[in-house]
Amino acid sequence: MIPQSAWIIAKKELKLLFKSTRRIFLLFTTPLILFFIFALMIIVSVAIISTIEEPVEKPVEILVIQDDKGIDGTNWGSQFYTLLKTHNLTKDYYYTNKSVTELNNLLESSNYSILLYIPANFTETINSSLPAQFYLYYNGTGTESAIAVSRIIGVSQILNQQILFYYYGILDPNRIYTSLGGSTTDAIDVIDSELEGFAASFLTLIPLYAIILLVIPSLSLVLISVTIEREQKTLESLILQPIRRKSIIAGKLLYGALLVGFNTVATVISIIALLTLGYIMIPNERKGEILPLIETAIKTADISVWIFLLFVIIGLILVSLLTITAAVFFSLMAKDEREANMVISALVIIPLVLTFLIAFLPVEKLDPILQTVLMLLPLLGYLFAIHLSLLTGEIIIGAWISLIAQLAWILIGVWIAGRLVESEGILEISYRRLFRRKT
Amino acid sequence: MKSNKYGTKNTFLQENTCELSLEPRIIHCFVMRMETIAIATDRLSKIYNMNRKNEVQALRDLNIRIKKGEIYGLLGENGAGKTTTVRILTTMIKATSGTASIFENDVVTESSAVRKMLGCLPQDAGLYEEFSAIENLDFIAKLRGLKQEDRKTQITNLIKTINLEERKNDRVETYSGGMKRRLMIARAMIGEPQVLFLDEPTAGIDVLVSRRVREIIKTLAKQNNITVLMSTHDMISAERICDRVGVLHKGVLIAEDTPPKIIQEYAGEQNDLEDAVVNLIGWTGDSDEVFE
Repeated sequence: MIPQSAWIIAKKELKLLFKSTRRIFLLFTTPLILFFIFALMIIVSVAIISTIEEPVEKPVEILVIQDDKGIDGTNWGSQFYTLLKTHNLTKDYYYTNKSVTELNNLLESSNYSILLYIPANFTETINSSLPAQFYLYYNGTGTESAIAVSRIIGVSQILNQQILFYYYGILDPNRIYTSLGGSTTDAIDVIDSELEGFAASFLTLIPLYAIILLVIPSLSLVLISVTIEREQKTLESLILQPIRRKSIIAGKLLYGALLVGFNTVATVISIIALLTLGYIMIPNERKGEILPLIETAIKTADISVWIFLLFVIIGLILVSLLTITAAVFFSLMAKDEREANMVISALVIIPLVLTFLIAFLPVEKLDPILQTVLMLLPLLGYLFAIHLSLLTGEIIIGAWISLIAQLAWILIGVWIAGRLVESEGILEISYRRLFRRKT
Repeated sequence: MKSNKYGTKNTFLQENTCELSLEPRIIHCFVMRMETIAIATDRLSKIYNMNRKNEVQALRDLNIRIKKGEIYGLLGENGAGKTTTVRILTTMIKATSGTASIFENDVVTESSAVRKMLGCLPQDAGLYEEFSAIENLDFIAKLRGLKQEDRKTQITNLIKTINLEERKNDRVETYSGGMKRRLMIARAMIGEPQVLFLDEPTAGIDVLVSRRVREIIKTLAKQNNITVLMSTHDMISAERICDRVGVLHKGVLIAEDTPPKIIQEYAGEQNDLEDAVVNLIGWTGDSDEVFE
């Protein structure tokens, strides 16, 4: 399928690569940087693990202001408090009673982790068959506290299905979910979705960094290989050979793909080597804690996780090829290495900025048609598809379409480059020619 | 006799049989055209930037016929159209009008077949500086589809011919200009081409190297019966190695003959090719007249 001449050109490029110190350094940049960072992390981690004592779990402290006066010997506020202290979900928390007079001071000082305020009319409202209200303040410190908030809300529903609460969290202090008519379940969903949103935003960036770290060195090397042919004036003798000119493009693409593959393998090997080294360095008594964690993670991962990983890997391969195609295409247009570098910088920076926008803006609320259009974009579409998949928890059809779109962009890039090369000759190609009318 | 796609024949026989008995000149022409035509152009024209303000007609209705085994020199001032002609014939650019062929293969529609037959030393050619002479030649040999044994034999012979045996494994970046030029000629000869295009083969090199390059071109061409089209400003080279020369001026072929006849006809008292060419293009010493 790949012409013999393309292999010959790719091999020539590899041979030239290993004759230049500058290019070898470029190729090994990523594994070197990663090696250095991981080595540092492992040394620091091992040093910390070796010195720290067994962590002592500090129970979450819940400040309780039980102001419910009750009616005719019935006090739902008191019962709610007792339920919290005895229920399996919440009995392990550390409860401290506070007086209602301290409420304002506590709120102003924010000197609490979780503050539960049961108002004076709590019983009265329940007895009137109206939704009762309690107030829950959370200052956002720690995951344990966040879990405690969810559990308190859950237990309050056991007491009364109609119960409502005001929730003030650090994630959105101005928002009062229940005042907008939402139920407790909605509120938990909102908290979860916000946390998931943040996780999705950060996870979306991982493939982008993978692209930048693994593809950019190869991109630069492909770019250098094309521009050097121009600058050393070897391109002319290359196109005079009895080979299809498209083979020259195919050869450069093949070279780029081999470099990406090489870089990936080298990076993965260096990471595995370092992790192994780190494992060896961990004290023996701690080793027993790590392996079960890894086993559990692998066993609990269902099929959708593996499909998602497959999607990410296929996508990474495609966008790597796409970026290499773009590098070949634009460096063919550039008159020298400087101009080509400028274009490549733009190629990297634009998706980087746009991905940040995608990751942290509520793009998931966009119209589905617009979402599909976004997913068709080169490179950005793939990252957007990952972002949406992470938010929805499944790989949507649009995500698979985005992969097909990436493949289509590669083919379009190769086709246009091939057409340009075959029609007038590589030597006449320039950015200006793209916009010049045909003579 | 095979007819090519331009409707012309490669021999005089079929189209001019009726004229055979008329004049000795025609008989001479018949004998000449009985030989295989290696390079042919018919009304070949090239306009750069057509229909634009900076439109330039680089070549106008060029008709040339170069026989197999002939060394043909294209002479003329800068911008006369020499390099444009070489570039069209080597399939690097397309003509605006007219046709060109190498051994009856059209340079546009059968470019791949044409490239198989030709070897070329472009005007601004370069080499892979980090490769050695052997590696440079081996890469081109592989691209031309030569088998390992043939590659080895041809490269060894060429390295010997260009006298680079001692430095064959050194990086090209350490070579002198003359060594690089010789290596480029050797590279053009890889794959035993039938036609060799040399664009300014002696440009920028000293007289001693220039003489050596001339010898190499002549040796290689005659040994292998190769047709050579050489564009050059070097009149000594043209006079000494070319069987025929053509003089281009502003894209038009204004004279074509053997160097002695060109000298005889146009050189006047000076008796050298340079004066003949100067007289032909009518240079007055005003550099602005030079067509760019």
